[in-house]
Amino acid sequence: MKITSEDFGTQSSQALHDMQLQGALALVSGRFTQQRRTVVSQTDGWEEIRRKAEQIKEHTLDHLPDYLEQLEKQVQANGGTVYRAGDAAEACRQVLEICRRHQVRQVVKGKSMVSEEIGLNHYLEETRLEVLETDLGEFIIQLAQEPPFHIIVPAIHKTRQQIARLFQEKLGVPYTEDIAELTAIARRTLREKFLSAGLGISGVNFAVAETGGIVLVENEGNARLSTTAPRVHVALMGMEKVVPRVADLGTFLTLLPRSATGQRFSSYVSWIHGPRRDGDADGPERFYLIILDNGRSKILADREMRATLRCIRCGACLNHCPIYRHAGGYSYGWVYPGPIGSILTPQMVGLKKASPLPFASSLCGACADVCPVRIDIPQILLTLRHRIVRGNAKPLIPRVAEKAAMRGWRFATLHRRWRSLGIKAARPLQAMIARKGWLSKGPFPLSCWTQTRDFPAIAPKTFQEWWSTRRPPR
Amino acid sequence: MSLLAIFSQELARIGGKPHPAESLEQAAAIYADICQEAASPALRVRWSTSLLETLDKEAVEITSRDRDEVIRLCAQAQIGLTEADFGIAETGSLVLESGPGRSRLASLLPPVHVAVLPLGRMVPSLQAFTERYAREENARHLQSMACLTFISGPSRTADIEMTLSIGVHGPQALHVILLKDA
Ligand code: SF4
Repeated sequence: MKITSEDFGTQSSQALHDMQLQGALALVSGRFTQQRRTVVSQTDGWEEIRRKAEQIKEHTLDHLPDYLEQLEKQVQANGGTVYRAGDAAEACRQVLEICRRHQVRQVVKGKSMVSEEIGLNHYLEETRLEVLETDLGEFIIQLAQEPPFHIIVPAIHKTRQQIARLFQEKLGVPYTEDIAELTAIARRTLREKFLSAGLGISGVNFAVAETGGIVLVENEGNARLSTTAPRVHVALMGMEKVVPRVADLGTFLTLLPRSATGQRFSSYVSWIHGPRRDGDADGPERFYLIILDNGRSKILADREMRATLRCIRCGACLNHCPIYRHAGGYSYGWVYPGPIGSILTPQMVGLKKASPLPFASSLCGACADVCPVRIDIPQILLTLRHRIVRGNAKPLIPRVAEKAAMRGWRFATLHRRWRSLGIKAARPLQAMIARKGWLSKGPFPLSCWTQTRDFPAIAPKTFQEWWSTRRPPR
Repeated sequence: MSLLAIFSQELARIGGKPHPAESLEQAAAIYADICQEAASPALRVRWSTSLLETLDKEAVEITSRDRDEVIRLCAQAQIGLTEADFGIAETGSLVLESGPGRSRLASLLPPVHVAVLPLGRMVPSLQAFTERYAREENARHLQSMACLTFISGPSRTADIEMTLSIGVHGPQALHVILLKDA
């Protein structure tokens, strides 16, 4: 996927003017935040569970190579095969190799952010394999040839009318705006494919080192179908997804559905331990687990950034972020949107290619308040900002302009005389454009601000001026 | 509140149908009603356990046989009948273990899923359930099965305009017969 994070500014202002998009964003964030609030208030010891999760994740990251090794051994003991992939290209090649080995032509996929990250669909389609997304939202955006808009509900930016037209055009079905009917069309179309596909690909929500199990959380049943009907199952995971023990799952499975959708539990949760066993009536004959690095080792080694790897991709930080709620998913310019995207994307694609993202935040801290694994996202944003400025990763002109402005600010705060002189000089100038204490337009560089909002005018009297008339004589 | 009451309330809230049964006879009567309601004459598939055998002799047992045959049967069936290994009261969830005679597709492909849950298998919460596996031998047993599935209500999605649709890929209806222990 092409990375356009550099254009966050233009992309987000386009999104701001798209009223339909704004409506969809208000709907998704409103619904999810409200449902989450309700269910969290009904959960005893929520904060304690979050702290427990943080602690388990930190412990796992401390010993990550060991747990990955244990996971690998246990998957093998279960009759599965493990591949390690250093980067996106390697992971894609491994999937293709598996498809070739088993002479597969048709692939069905459950939702997986990692597969988006490595651009798997595109890669496989180039080799003329038929690859079908089966999560309803993913299916829709695949038909529309668009990337996911939201981690949990990928096609939420589309209206039922758009989806109706899309289905009519791509699937040759009669136009209907009835959501139940649209869902039924997807069910019928995909049902055949599940049963004929030779290979199913899934993501991994959690992998358990102790048992070599992978855990899949979903509502639709498409992940179950993709991992049960075809002869071969390939699971893709980022290396940070491992947890030590089965008993740890209680903590994470309590947190994930509540944080993601406000459900107490998702409709289906599968704990999969390799291929079918002797005597089983169904299930895949072969199981492969691909463990992806793709820059994660680098994050692991970076003390200030490491907490990023605790993320369980629940999407809560998106729903609660005032920036995401208006800028929407595509503004972030890559696979991971919202606050998690703002900290993850720069680390994965490089500071230069994603320099606006850490600045796309008001640092209000809502993300950290809701994050089920207590990632201090604002702190990481600040550190990234610091690195971007220090490392000259910003484009030249804003960089120079910002530096000059900061110098000016420093001068003004350190030199009171000059400051009051400047204020005195500015008053008659602003009098020409100020209205009721606000400036709504002005010359460059003030115009950068006033294009989108008013700027408070300088008060008729500064505090110091006022105070000097009040101060009792000494 | 009893675990049965909590389970029933929670299951109903997420769109499943709880049916408490005092005896095997009553369970059979409830099951017959469900079958009647779902289109008849309907192909029914089931797990091969002795409890389910007494409940529905006629349903096709899904055992290890030709792969395509298993898929065809489960895809054509109107009703899939299974027996839950655990129930989780707090979330109204069923837990199904895979294994010989315990098809995964039987609870997934038919539009109606009927599960029998003997009440002695009810645990209060997800935490209590996962803590079972703090015991090494339980974890090893778990690992010996290809798949453990938690089912909480029917298949659902809100992917279009955040509007709930039931039965997107899995069953449209989930009935749980809560069987009092003999
Ligand atoms: S950063 Fe936290 S809140 Fe955001 S997706 Fe990850 S786990 Fe969820």
